[in-house]
Amino acid sequence: MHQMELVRLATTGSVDDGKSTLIGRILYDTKQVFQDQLEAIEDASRRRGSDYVDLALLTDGLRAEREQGITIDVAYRYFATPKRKFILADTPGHVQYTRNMVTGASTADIALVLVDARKGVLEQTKRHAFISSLLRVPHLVLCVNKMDLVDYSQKVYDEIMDEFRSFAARLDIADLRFVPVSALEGDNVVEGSEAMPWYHGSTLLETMETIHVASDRNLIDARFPVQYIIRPHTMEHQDYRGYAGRIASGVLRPGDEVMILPSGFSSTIASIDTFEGSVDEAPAGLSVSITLEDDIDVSRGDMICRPNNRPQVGQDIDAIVTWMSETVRLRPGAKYGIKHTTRSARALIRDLQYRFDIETLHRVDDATDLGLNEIGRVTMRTTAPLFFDEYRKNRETGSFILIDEGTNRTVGAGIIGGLAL
Amino acid sequence: MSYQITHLDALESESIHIIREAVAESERPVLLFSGGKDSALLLRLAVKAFHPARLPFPVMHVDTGHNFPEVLAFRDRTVARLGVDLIVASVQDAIDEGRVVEETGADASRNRLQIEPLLRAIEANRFDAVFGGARRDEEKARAKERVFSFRDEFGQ
Repeated sequence: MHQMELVRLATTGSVDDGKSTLIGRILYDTKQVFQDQLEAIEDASRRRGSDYVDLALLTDGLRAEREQGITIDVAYRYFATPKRKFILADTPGHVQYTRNMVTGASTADIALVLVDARKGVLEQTKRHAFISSLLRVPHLVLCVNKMDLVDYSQKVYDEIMDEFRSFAARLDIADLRFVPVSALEGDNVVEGSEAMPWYHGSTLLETMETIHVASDRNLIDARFPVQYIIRPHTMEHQDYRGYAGRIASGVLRPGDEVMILPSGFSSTIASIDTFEGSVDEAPAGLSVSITLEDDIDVSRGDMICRPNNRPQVGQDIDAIVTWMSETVRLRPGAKYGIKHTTRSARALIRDLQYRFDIETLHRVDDATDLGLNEIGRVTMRTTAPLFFDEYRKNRETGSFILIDEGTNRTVGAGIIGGLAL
Repeated sequence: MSYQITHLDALESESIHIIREAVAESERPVLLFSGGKDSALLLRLAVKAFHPARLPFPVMHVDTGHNFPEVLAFRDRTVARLGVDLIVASVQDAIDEGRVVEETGADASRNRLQIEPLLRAIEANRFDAVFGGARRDEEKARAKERVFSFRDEFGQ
């Protein structure tokens, strides 16, 4: 079987930006649409009196949602080209869906932000870019859509680029790209554009297929949060004791000297096992089971790392939290369950330092609480030490969720800035 | 050697991570296994997650009574080979006991009738986590299904 790289995309935009049409266009032009699906949307388009086949209908699940009474959430769509396999997290763009956007962006390699060429950079565009930068999505592509409605004007495109660049300079965006497209007509989405001979860059799909994402993973800092202890109790594997988990970052090899936190005991990796057999090395992202040379006490929630490269250890933590609860608000003094890697503890919110006004991106210093979809900076104290890295260095060990202890609902998602003073 | 992970390894590792996490955080999990292709894949992932130990939880089949005999034989062979317990919740029993009513007409199906025996079996066995396999592209709403979906006492 042909082995491909998996790339995660997050797309945000409102209905009016043509996001559904753009996604439909990508699926259609990369030949991911079955004959019967196509006939169904041709039919629906004709019934609605459209002059063209409305590709947005391919992904428009709104009606299905209403019928089934499920909430608007993140939609995951899978598609592939001969070069890469993509998972696209599709989130609505309105401010009331900020929590969904954060969810989608938290695992994304590439953020696709849409703007309508007629409207240019809006508050909403800035909010999308801000969230992508906050969640450290490594690559941001600004798709200037509806170029057909501005006569494919280079001047309009250049002005939008300039305006967005000057705004983006205030954010932390490692890699920023622009593509002028018409999702409706198909210009520069999968096929190139004859209508925009002045544009010499890649199409959107080429960009998605070629952006170098392999180096975005942290392969330096070995972090293995222990998830589960595998003890078979079978005749064949009587003495087997494997520490199961997914390598959060770095690379592990048999023979590596390791340290276990919180105990501080040292040992050596005896083997790294998978269902298919033992491996000589295992990089970040793989789920494996590790055996150690020494018989020491290791439990779920412990962290295996290298003795000379350890995460930070602490109970006083500085973090940025996105609030996700419709019913309760984050307030200083409140206590929540916290889940960080495979470790659970309780957290006391000591202080809310400020809230971001996500329309203007200004800091609101006199904020007293956080409501649904609000983002703010807090300091908190946990009942047990966390083994963490700054989110900017490690998306896996730098993030956590807050849980309402009464209902077990996830009420907040956080990224760690460092130890709080 | 390159540290690149292929798309299948990445997806499999993510699935194994989720399965282990759910099992670590729950008391009495169960996995829905009918012998069909989606649940066969799910079961395979679960077996990989706990290898070389046996699957640390039972599997359950919500049996519509409309099966190919070969699929049932595969189901039974598979659970025997893995040494796991199989619980069967029967739609036919639910009909016979008057708990659900068989649909009639050209589009009659027992798909919807599975809900009652499923929830009843979950309650009777006090399961607190249920693994189910589905495909994102099966239907538009499936694209938005959450990975972890919290349900209330009505199973909703």
